[in-house]
Amino acid sequence: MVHLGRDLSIFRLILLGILFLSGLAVSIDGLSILLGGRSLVGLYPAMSALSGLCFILGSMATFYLYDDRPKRVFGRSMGLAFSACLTMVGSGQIIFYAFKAWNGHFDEALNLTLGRIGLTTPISSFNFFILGMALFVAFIPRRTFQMISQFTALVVVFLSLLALMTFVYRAQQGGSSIRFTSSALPTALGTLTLGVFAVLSTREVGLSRLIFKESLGGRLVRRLIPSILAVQVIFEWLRSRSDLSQTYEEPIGMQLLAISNSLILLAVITFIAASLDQLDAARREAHEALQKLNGELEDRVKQRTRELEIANGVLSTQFSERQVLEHEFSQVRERVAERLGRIIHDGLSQELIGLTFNLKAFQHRLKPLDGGAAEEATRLEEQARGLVGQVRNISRQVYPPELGVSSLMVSLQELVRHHDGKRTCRCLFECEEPVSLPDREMETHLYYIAQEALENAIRHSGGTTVWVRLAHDENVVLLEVEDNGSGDMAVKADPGIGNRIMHYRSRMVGGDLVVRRQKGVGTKISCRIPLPIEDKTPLSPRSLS
Amino acid sequence: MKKRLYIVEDHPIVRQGLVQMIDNEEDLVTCGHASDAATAFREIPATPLDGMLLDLSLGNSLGGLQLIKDLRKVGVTQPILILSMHEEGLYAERALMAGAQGFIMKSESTDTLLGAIRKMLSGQVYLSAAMVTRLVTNLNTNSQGQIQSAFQTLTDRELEVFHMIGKGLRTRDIAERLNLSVKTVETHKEHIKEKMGLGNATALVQSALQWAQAESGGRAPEQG
Repeated sequence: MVHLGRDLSIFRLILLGILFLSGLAVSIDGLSILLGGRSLVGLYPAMSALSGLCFILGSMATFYLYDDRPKRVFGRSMGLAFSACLTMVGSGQIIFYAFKAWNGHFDEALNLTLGRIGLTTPISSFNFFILGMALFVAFIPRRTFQMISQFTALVVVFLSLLALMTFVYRAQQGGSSIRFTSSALPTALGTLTLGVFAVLSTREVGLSRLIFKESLGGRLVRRLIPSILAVQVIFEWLRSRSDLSQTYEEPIGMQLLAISNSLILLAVITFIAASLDQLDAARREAHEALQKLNGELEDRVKQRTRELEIANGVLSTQFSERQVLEHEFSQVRERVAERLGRIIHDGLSQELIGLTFNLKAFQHRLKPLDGGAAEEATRLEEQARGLVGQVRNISRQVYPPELGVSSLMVSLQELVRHHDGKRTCRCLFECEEPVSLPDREMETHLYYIAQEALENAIRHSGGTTVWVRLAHDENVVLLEVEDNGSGDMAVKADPGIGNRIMHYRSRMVGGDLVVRRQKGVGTKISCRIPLPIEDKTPLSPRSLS
Repeated sequence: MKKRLYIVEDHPIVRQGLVQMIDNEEDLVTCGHASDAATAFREIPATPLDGMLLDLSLGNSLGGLQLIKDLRKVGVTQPILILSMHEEGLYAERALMAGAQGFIMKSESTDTLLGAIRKMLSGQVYLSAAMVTRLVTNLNTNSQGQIQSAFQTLTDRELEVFHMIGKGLRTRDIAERLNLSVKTVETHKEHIKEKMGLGNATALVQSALQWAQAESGGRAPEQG
């Protein structure tokens, strides 16, 4: 693959260098002739000093036009200056010719030009002028200006080609009325080169854009334009050579040219069609391959999806089994806790209480005896009493006695009352409307959430008041535990297990638990539990009274 | 003369301990004991006694509360002190409403228990200091002194609303069922709070709920 940009960049440097050096040489040569000396270089003794200057200016401007490096502002200013100079030199010459023509001295001016020293021809002057314009406008990074530049540069190319062809075909004819200097050929080649550079510089728009495009169109343009131009030039040259050598008459030559052109056009069209066909075949092949790959991919996706669906089904089943088990486990755990709590509360505690009663009676009986036996009995009774307290606390930890005895409202009220005043923290229970829950499990989970949140608040919040609120709204039960503490203490103190258990309990009954901490204001834990649609069996007012 | 006490307690060790302890007191004596409500109900009316000590939970139910009501129905007028493992906060008010003269938790010290028994026998009501504070707080500035008497000041409609709150109905539901506006029900609730000296909505709901539970016997603990 040809890297047009990069190759062109090296190529243009070489070409511009040659242009610049030739321009320099010619200028010096012209200058020496002008100063009365003789031609030093001898290459183009008649070529004007101005032509050389124009090439120096043009090549410098073009160099900066292609200069993409960071110091672009500098490059741009330099380029603009050079192209402006080129325009001015060109326009100066045009004005000179126009002035001479106006005064009827055009021939004199032309003779001056065609003499050993002097100016360029009018056509070259015009060419330099519009080349300067094209290069100048090319420095303006706006689409419209780029288009204008490209168009103008194409005109330069056209004029240069015209001059070139005219020189090539007519210069040797001798009989032509047009007079050429010996510098006409290099001038035409130079302006052609600069014009092509100017066209190619506006690569964002028009023809240039197409030339640089890595597409079918781009490839065609890159291949065809140079070949068509070359073929035309060669054919025309051949025709003129034949004309000159009088191999055949001019009309026959023209016919031959036309037929050859048609044949070449036919060949070009065939070539284009063949390459298009080839490309299309390749594209179709690629498309088919892609479709095949797509099909395979789709099959694999389907297969993978099926596998995933199966795996997902297994996982779902396992998950729901796990949920059921978890649920049962939770129930069993609560039941065990309840049973254990009851055994301690109703069995062990009562036995101990019975023991204290017995010890009291024993103490009475020992009173008449000396030796401090009664005091010993009193001490034993006190010890047993202490044990009763401890066992009560244990039983409370295992299964709070108020839980399940009454409604959640009453249980929560007892819970709050039990904690009220602990660590000088005021605990308040608020419930403005009766709240009834459909099952005991829900009550148990909510109770434990409230207990965890309340105990956390008392222990870690540093607040003075904790509110426990229970409310019922549109088939949703809302439990809130709020404190007026620091709002961030809880984060440090709670390692997260308590929090996780609260969330877990909330999930177990289909609820949603949110913890909001606000620094300096406090912590609020809200648990919302949606209820099944309410049963609205009307109560008979009579049955109530 | 020693005051005679009848003891109803289902836990054998506690019952035996109580009998032992009371019999050893100079001014007290047990005149019988039972481990279940049926025996107690059969024996008590036929036994000359000065007071009764009742466990709240008999067997698998809150038999104590029902027993009080039954005894009062058959004309037993002697004072009753409820002795329970349960939190006084949960049952004390209900026990008083059912007709008991006091409530004491089993975890209290023996001296406190004996003091409570003597207070009950002298015709006074016994409640722990904490419970008295709580009741007074709930009753607030009620000039009548008792919930029972406050009921009498409620109009029929207010009583109906109070019942419904106790049944667990919300303001909106009550309004719907009584064909009243929510605002009217709110007004009734305000009046009930005023008349019964209940400080806030929470207290009203709790009071109504407890009253309803006392009426129906409540949800019973399974043992104790």
